[in-house]
Amino acid sequence: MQIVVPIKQVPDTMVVRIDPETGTMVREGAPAITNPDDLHAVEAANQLKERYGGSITVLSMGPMQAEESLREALSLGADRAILLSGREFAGADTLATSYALSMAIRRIAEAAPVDLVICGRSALDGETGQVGPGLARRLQLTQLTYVKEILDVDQQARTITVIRETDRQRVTVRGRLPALLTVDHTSFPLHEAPLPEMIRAAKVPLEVWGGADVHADPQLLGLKGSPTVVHKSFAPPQPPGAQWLEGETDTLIEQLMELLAQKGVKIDG
Amino acid sequence: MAEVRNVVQINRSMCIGDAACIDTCPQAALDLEEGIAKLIEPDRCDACGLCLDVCPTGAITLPLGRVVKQEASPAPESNPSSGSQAKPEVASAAPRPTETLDPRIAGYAGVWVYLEHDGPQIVRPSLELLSIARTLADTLHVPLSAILVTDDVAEMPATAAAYGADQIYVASDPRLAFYRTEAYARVVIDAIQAYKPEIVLVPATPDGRDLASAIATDLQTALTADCTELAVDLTKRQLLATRPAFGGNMMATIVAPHHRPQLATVRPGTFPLPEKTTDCPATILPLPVMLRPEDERQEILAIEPIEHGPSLQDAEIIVAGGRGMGSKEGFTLIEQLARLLGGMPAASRPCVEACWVPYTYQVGQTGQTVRPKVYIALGISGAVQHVVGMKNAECIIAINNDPRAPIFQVAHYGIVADAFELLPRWIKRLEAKSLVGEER
Repeated sequence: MQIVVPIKQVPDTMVVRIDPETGTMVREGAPAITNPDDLHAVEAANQLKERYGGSITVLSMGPMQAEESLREALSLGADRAILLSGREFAGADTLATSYALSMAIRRIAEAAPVDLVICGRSALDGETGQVGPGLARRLQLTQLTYVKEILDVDQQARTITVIRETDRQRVTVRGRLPALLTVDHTSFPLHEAPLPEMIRAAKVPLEVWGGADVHADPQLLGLKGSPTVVHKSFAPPQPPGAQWLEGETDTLIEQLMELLAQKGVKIDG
Repeated sequence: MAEVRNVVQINRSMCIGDAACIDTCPQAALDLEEGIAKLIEPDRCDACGLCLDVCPTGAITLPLGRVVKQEASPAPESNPSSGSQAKPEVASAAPRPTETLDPRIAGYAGVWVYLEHDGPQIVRPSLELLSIARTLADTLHVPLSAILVTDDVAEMPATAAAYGADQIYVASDPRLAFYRTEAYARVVIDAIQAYKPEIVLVPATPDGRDLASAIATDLQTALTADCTELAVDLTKRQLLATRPAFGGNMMATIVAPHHRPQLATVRPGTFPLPEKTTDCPATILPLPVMLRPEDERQEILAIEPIEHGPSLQDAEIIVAGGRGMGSKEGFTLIEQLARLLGGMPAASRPCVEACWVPYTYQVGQTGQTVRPKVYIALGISGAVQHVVGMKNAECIIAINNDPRAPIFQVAHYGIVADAFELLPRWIKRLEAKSLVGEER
């Protein structure tokens, strides 16, 4: 079974600062990390590889620095790492990203067919969750998002059975292979990479592909291929701030009770 | 292309097969099939409306109104390849500056809301969208439509109408009993291609996001995820879709200058439910369901509802605790206060991550977005990630022992106090009051 896991390197949003004057992100000092959900996707792929055999290819698009993330994924069990890198890919929105990644997956599939593409639920920086489904449509893969459990892969019948968990229900679905899954991170907890795996990961050659290597139409890549444009970005507006209530605890409680009564809160009694 | 794919709709149950429309159609786009009129050549229909005039039963409608041909239109930028099709103007809509629009986006009109449903009930996040969609549609002078994909329409079209939809596109087919991406996407994509709305809003629920992403990819158009504000630029007929990015540290307004329709998913809880009306004459427009073999790639084996209990989204009073509550035990105070005030307990993300409370408590970017009447924040510092989920509350009361905590920026009322000193006494006070009430 051949599995491809697309991953992304993202700025750690817990550390990112926004310049309130310009509304732009201050990238300095913000460390780049592998998108956490994507590592769980690697883990899901790894569990399937253990059960059914096969190989895992991790694929990323970004600057050369994204090699760090690909190495991390290799140490968690991936066998092959490909980086789409080049100026032509820059500025891509989710539509252009899914195009670039889909062309790379097509090239991967030339050697051996791809049975599964597994993605994390969403990326920390954009939180759109749109690239996975985009890949499914472009590559005509059965689209199975919010996967909580992978119950079974039947390679003979070419089906996969999963449980999708949405806000309202748990749905058991049998889908045809090839399929694309986006997985729930809580179901695929990470394990520490064992030392021999880390050594192996360091030795795997990194393949770097440009737009021409995947036969991509340059008009559909990067900024050119992106229908969405950032019109403006800004720091969230600052409200005026709280009106202070002061006094001894009992006074404060009386003020709170009065305030709640004003707001129409009915307190028993 | 200066074409409006506004084509006639034939209500099969009303058609008596008299073929008057077929004889009248100047484009020969209609024919009888099994004794009932059918639009056999949708591409040829130019929405002239002549068939509507001759139909004795009123079985034919034009959802976007008649297209009035402009004789010898002097518009130099009108697309020469459109040939016989003069630049159309939708008669029912107010005049629009179409001639200034990019030819790639001209001809798209109308605002749609996708109606996600749980069996026979439209889910609340879809109904919420009808309020903002109404504002957008009114600004653009276009009708507000809803689109429903199901196996059983039940009372849903009436509900959508009561919440403000002018017209409801309905696809009903046994194969659409449960949400399956490929099947649902096919129906919605076909409808968008036939009727060309300029804006399509979808709730940012798991299934809504799944569907919107599929549609946008197939239509090669713009999709902005998880919007918290929506507006339009009338001159460019552009949707201004604003969303938080980078964990809520930043807001970004996204536009799509050259692509239609403009798709957006919207966070549940962002907009209030629209006023429900009783006098609501909406048009129901049936949609064809033409699934291809590749749309039947999934089979639903079982469905088990997740019981949430009462929802934070419906709560009028929320008592939320943060890291400052210190422990699982600290949260019993939050829960007691919530119960005494007739509200619901909630929490910020660190408390959920520390396993003090379940995920259903979580308010914020990766939790729920709420808009209660009163939000009492105890021991919550006010990280952006939390604030984006509660800043729309009508009245925010923050209690924290750090006067510099950012929560006081968004709060309407602030108290610098130790929650562990204030809470027990407040609870005692409320208990005493309710006891008096019972004795009365």
